Amino acid sequence: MANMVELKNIHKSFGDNHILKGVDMSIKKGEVVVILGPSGSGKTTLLRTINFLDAADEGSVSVHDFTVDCKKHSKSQVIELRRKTAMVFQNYNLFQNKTILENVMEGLVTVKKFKKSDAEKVSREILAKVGLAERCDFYPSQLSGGQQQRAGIARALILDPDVILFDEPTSALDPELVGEVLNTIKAVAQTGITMIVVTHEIAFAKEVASRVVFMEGGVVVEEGKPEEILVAPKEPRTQQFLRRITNPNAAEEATA
Amino acid sequence: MINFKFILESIPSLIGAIPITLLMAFSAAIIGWILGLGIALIRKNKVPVVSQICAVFVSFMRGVPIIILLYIAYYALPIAIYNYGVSIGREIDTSTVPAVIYAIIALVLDQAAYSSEIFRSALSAVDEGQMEACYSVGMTKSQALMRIILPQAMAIALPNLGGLFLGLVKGTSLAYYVGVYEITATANLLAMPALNFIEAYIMTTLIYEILSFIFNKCFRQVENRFKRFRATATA
Ligand SMILES: Nc1ncnc2c1ncn2[C@@H]1O[C@H](COP(=O)(O)OP(=O)(O)O)[C@@H](O)[C@H]1O
Ligand SMILES: [Mg+2]
Repeated sequence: MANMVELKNIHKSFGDNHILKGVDMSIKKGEVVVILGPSGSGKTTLLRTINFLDAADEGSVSVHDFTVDCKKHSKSQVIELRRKTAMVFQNYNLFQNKTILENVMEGLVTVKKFKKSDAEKVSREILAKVGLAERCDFYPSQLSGGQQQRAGIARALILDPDVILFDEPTSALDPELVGEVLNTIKAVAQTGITMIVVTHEIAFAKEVASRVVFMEGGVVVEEGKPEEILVAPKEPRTQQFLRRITNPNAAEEATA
Repeated sequence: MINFKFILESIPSLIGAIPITLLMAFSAAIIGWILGLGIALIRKNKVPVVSQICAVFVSFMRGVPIIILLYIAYYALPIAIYNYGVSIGREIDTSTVPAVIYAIIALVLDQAAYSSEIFRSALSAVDEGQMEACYSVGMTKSQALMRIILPQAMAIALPNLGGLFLGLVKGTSLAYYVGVYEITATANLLAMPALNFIEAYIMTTLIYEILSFIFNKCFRQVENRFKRFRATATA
């Protein structure tokens, strides 16, 4: 097996709007890839083309040696690809009509055909790991954003996916809740699972990323080790972006 | 003066007419709502051609007075069936079909149209992220619908379905016009000989009020069961 995830020449348009303009990406097993980039640069869309929540118009997606051609794909291929991936959403998207425990069990029971009792056992274990042992029987609407997102991470992890896709997992959270979720993600990263994380948390990226990818305007502008991209980026666009998000006041003054 | 003797004597007959009213209401609701849900799903998924046919059906049904629908079902349907029988070389005797069947058919169509609009808006009210989360864990579309989307849509639809059902119970009184001896027809029949119409209508009103009250309570119960996940309290 060469790569855990391989994207080749991904193009995606919404109407006349060409959003992704030929993205290539190869990710090895166990890599933690952090994607940075300004709002609207196509980061979310790129993640969504990997699990076909949005099908790309061109190119191919491979996960764990299973390749799907974006132009001509069958329903069963898409399902199989999705079963190799899991996603953590910006707005958590927990199943509102299910308890936290049921949220985590759902994929095991419905998709992986686990016996209910087995599914419940492992789900409780994983919820304990993310610090939600006491919250198993609560509904998502009864939890804080941070708790919901940790449940979302548990729901993704339990499926033992080949890759987990995180789309700005902390950007909908109140500032005081960001830390607990980032710590949970760090712990997940240490287990050696392959991850792609879209985030604006630079300190977090420095700590956990094995590679940082900077995107703008639907293309990868620059990528490399976190110390290269985050500390000494070569591209002016990357430099400008980092200046803006590490020092928002300066950016405001500059544009004022 | 109010004739209390008449009222007392009419009670058993009126209560005896309740089952036929309920038979119409429940069969129309169960069949009509299943059809309505189907129509809503077809229209939501924009199934080509069928979706447009459903849209025309719904808009037509919403424009037709229910009494006309009853007349069409009662007078036109048997002729249509008879002619169809002739065209395939058989003589179908429709005279043995009880009137209540035609009434139910008309009410089913009415309920299908109205409930489809309720289901459609309920389905749209479920956050799109829910379906995406289902897909992200590898569920098929039908698994997602059955386990996640429909239960949430039901919780949203229930208050409106409750209202629709109460309207339906009252709407069954129109079956009187095609000769179904439900509550209203029975009351009229009893009142006729001695012109006790006031008494008969008081009793009829009372029975419909009691039925409404009971069904309202039942729907509230079901609503609360469905809505338990919508708790607002924060842990
Ligand atoms: N479903 C959609 N329909 C139309 N335009 C979309 C859709 N999803 C995203 N876009 C557009 O694609 C662009 C990139 O969006 P997105 O991938 O969300 O960027 P990012 O996550 O980097 O902020 C935006 O201009 C957005 O308006
Ligand atoms: Mg985004």
